[in-house]
Amino acid sequence: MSGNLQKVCLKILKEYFGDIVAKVGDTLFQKGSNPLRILCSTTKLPLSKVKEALAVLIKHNLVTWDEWKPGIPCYTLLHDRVLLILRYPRYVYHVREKFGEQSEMIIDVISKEGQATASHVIVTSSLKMYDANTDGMNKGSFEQQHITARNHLLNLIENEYIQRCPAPQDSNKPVPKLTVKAEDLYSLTPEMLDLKALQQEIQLRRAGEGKPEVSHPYSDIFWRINYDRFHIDFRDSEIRNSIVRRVDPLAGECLGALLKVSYGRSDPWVSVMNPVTVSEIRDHLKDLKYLEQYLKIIEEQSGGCVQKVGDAGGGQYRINMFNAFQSLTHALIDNIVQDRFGSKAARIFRLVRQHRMMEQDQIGEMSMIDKKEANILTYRLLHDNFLRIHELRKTLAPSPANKSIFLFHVDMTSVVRMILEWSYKALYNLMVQRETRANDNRRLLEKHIRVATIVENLNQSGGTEDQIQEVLDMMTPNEKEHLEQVNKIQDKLHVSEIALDDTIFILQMFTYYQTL
Amino acid sequence: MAARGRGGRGRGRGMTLEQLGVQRGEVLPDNIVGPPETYPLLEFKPSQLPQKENMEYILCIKKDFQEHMQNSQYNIQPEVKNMDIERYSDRYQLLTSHRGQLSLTWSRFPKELHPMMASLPKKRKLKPAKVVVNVKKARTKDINVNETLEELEKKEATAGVDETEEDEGGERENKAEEEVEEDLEEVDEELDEGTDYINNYFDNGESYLDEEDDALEEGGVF
Repeated sequence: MSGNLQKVCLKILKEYFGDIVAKVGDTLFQKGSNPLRILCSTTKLPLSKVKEALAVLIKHNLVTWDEWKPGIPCYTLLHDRVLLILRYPRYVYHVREKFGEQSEMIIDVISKEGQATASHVIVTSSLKMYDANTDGMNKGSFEQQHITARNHLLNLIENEYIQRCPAPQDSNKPVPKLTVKAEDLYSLTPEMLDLKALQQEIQLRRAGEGKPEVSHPYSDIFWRINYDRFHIDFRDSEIRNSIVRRVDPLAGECLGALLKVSYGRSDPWVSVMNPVTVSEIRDHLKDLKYLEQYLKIIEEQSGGCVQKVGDAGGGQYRINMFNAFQSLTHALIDNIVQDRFGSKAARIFRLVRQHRMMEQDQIGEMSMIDKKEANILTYRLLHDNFLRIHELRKTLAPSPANKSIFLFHVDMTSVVRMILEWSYKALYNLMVQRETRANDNRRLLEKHIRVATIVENLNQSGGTEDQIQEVLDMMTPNEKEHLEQVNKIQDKLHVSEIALDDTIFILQMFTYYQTL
Repeated sequence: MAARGRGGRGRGRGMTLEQLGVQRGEVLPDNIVGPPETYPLLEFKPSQLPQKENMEYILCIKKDFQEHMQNSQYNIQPEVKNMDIERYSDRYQLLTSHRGQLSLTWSRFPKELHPMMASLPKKRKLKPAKVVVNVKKARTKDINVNETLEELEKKEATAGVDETEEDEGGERENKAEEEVEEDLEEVDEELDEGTDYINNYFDNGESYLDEEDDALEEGGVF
């Protein structure tokens, strides 16, 4: 909760849902939970618009409500979820990597809708699949498309990437209370889908009818993305990649197997998992020759992520997520210091962090940097809040001879919090930059879109080459060049946002394990 | 620094220059006065963005997602205001920006968000409306007077006809009058039993300057 975070949330909401939703969301962020009437008077928007905005936010799982007074709900913004909107492309890509294109379409549909019924997901994703490969797919396989889509959906639900939304117990109440049973959370039984109706709707929609009236059973059960499941995967791949970077890809495989066995016997979100024996890992990696040796190396190299706890069953290992993210964050912050202050400063920062408390002279000696330069760098780090000072006195008696000692140290939690703030700020700056650039070149971009649509129309209606060329020539070479440059910068800003989100993810994980 | 903050008398002055690593007689950098620059020059060039092969695809998804959301029904548009003049270009803008109602399963939302709900309790709406009517009446009194006069004239004309018929229905009317009197008595009993709380002595001023009361009317009806 900070000014930077609030600005980013406002910007994200504005970019995806427009000004009105952004204003409502921002008021909820700043004022906390509020009922509808107060929101209306604070935002000075018409009641109908505030209602719509709240409904949109609820549909996208960004707002929840509680009963404030009998019959009157009060709405709360989940600001963490707002930030997650930026991570949606990663979710979609992750599923594509893991389960293929059809699953990707399913996640894509759900992420665009927030909450969606199973039938809607299957129909829309099937149609998208059809649009994507119009030529590559023969007609016969498309007839079975809805079954393929259903299987992919079932698979995603079974693997807990998608979960059932809580449903109202009694929808007649003015403030419905949403609940879902734990056993229903990941269960979509085949009888909940009417395959014939699905096929019918797909065919009708393909034939060009806008909204055919096909009724589907269980149309009151909605599904949404299970963020936590994705975050477990991201977290694991972060750890695996770090091991792959340090040792080799096979070590990554070992760690993957170790994680898999560990999840079988402990909650994925605890900081220290239950121990696993080597023989169990062996079951997953039958071909690997040097499993024991690899595990030993991983134990040494992983910075406390994998720990050996005993020798029973050929050796017992356990995973310590707390340590894993601590070392990842340390590496991250070391890099940030290096990029901001240079490698010498990074060396001082690392030294102080490893020795916990250090005196001024010690730093100069141990960092092997010229004393004066070391001092200046230390003070710069101190000035920018990477280092802290701890003052020690031998006695409280005042005397000039009694010199007090000043110890430098690193307060990791506060440094992480500071860098998170910077990241939010950088994110905001990137988005502002992107918006201003788009506004500055609005005329050019609009012209480009117009030309593109005309060319497309000509292509469809069978225009000649000359006609198309003539339309294309409406953009002067100068404009084309300029447009290319603008697009390139926009893309770069987009990519920076995605990359920054990676950083935010690691820092958030670190704070999560710290507070556990 | 720190010691001064605590304000202990004679405690020494925290860090001395020697402790900070500055030798005696050394040239110190100038004091900094004024705020730092808004855009200071970067000391080091920022490192390149990580080159990942998947970034391009993620970028495509991101752009597509953003575009989709901006054009979807969830991107709520402000109400279109009535322009001062009608412009030719408005027709096309309306076509693109018109999206209409959200199509959602409303049973999953709190009742007050449902689009068909009456928004305000009716009492509040009625009161101001009444006042407005009264003011109007008071203002348009002259017209009303003429109308009532015409009505009265008509009544007089019809009353003459009635009188001729009255003799025939005389007996029936007497009976009816008796019944009315009985009714009135019953009502009186009900009132006498309790207190007079039911009676409304409060005059909200609505009848003030009503049609029957011409007291303040100058140049009244003659």
